[in-house]
Amino acid sequence: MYTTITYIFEKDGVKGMACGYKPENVTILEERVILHAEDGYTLYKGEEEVGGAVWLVTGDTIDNYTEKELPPEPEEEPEENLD
Amino acid sequence: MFDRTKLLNIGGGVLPRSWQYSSSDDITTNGYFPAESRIQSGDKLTHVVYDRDNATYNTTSYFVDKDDDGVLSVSEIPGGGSANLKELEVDSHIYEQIIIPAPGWDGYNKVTVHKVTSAIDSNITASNIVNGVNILGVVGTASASAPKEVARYVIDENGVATVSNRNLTGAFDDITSLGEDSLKSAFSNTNVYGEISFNNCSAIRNNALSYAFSNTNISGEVSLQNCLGVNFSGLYGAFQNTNISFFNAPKMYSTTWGHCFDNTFNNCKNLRGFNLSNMQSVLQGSAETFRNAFASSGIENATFYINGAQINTFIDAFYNCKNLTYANFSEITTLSYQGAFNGTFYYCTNLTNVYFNSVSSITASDCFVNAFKGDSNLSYVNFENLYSISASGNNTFVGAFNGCSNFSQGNIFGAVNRITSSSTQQRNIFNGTFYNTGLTNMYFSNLTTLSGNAVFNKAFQYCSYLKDIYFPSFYNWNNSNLVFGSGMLQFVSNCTVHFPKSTQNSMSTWSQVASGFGGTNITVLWDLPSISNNFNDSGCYNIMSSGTIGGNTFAVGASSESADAWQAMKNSSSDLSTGWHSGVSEAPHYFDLYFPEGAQCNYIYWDIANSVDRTTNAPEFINVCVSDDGNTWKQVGSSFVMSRETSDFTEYEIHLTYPRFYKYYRLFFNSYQNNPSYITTINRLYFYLGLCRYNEE
Repeated sequence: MYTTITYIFEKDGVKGMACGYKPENVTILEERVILHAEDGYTLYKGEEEVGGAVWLVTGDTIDNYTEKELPPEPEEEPEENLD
Repeated sequence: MFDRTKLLNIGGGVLPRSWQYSSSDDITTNGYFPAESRIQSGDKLTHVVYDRDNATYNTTSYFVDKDDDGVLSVSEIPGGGSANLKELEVDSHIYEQIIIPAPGWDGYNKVTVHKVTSAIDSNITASNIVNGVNILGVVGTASASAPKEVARYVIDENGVATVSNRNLTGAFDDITSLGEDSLKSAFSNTNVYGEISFNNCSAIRNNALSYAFSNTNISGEVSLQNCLGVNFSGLYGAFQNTNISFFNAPKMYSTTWGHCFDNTFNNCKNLRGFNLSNMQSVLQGSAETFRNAFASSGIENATFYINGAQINTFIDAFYNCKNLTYANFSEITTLSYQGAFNGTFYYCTNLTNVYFNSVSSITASDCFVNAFKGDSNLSYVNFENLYSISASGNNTFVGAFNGCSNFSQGNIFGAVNRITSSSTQQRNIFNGTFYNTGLTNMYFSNLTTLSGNAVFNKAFQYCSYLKDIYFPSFYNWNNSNLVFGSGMLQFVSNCTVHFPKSTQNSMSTWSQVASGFGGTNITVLWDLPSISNNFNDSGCYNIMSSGTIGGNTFAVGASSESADAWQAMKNSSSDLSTGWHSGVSEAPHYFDLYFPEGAQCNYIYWDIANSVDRTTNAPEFINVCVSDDGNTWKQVGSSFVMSRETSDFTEYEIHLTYPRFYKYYRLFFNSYQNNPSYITTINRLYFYLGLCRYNEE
């Protein structure tokens, strides 16, 4: 698991989010901590699956979450190019 | 008499006139004999005397012999001076002849051999000779074509088939029906060749031709166009790995033909095309139909004109077809069979254009899994009428365009209005669909309804050129944090995702959105025109308060108006007299709406106050036309769908089946009984986007 910062901003009457970078020349309204699962994993809060990423709201902590491996991908077709 | 002894004692000289000397090498020296030193054994003296009484010549010959000591001697050749000869005539025969003179005769002084005639062999007849060819005076009358070779194959007691004659051209011309398993693998892996046709065969039963000609040297066109029916697996692998160049399909009246064309033309490198136009409408088979049918073949153009025949699947049908450049499935309107196009065009590296332009809905799961995987030259796939994706399972487009490095058609799913899925699995509708493609932007212009889980899971993984994704109609979702799935933009950087302003309050709380969909340096903007979610909000009736042309408001026009058209857009529930009146003029009357940013309408409502004389004012019917430029129009809907009466109004509705974004809408109204003296009145007109009214904030 790892975290990033998402910035809620506004510019010229348009609201937006900057995910993982800090935007410039905008009005930053809010900062949010985002908890991510590693590739191939999904997050669980207790027994409930919450997906690949979750917004840690005030009062929530990383300790409330666990990672579980996603189901395996199906077998791919052979990669060789048959001529 | 010449004293021959003198011959032995002299050194050569002149012979008497009746004598002749010839050396052993047959050199005759008339009148002379050689010197002693040149006389050889085998030399001959001949004395010829004319018998006047019998009028004949009597010849006496003498051999000259010279022994090793050089001693010469002369001996008379028996009968040489008195041979009894006769003449002989001989007929030619096909056999050897040895002829000995009859008793009393010493030989023949003249032999005449008669020339060969056609009588020499009784087979020399006109019917056995090619027409126009003369053999020994007999002119042929037989046909120039070679006698037909008929393939003969024998199956021994151990079930091993051998073929005694290889050319199969015309070999099956007299066959009228093929029973179940009749030619199953019959010629497979043999040295047969020629062109195959079953032009008089009316039915091909189960497995009748399964692998019949696989791995042989048959070539040219395969003709089955007169065959009326093919049953289950009838042509399974029939021509696999051969040199055939074209295929004429049978008429296919039969009811069950699952697996019929599975592997049929697999690895036919010389196969360039096929004609399926003979295939009539048949009942849908329950099993696969074209699995691997043309895989690794030389097919260049895959156009399916199937006269309404219901074909289930094309799983791997054109896998590895390197010559395939174009595919057309315009006749298909609904995809309901699981796996229909899974792997169908996998590794068709020269494929550029594919058409599914009549497909309006997809209800099957696993429909296009890896369908175009590895097609590095693919540039255009037509789904212009695809409105609904409602897979009962999931994985509809999993990996569909994986590795299509030149694919940048951002509006491929621009017509899709609703995506619904009941699946709770993590891999879903667009899982990995555009993995590593050349997309620079993506438009889901008409997508209003989205449900299910992980719909866009890893949809745009490794799309390194992707900069913008637009969801301008995004309104009705299942409000779940999981709807997008994780990693929609995994391994994508610096991309912006656009949503309508009206969705900002709710969507900004979604973790999938706030995380940037798993990408790097992702921006989410709510910069698109809002979609009202207050379907029954009466406060949204009022769209215009006065006529305004251009800008971000409606521009309303009408022909022959006596009341401004914008009056129909007012909230005038209390004023039953206001509205748009077309004025007296020749029908039809029409009413234009202009949306500078485009709008998607799927539902139009209007009413007429009960106080209005509907005999002379109510429109008889309405046509809806759309345009992107105000000049070129296309009709998208017509006639009334429903009407109802209330205390004050008579209300009318029309639903547009496949709503899309257009800038111009024209509503044609024909006056009652098409009477040019009548006018059209609309007291109130409501225009709906998706499930919402358009409401400019």
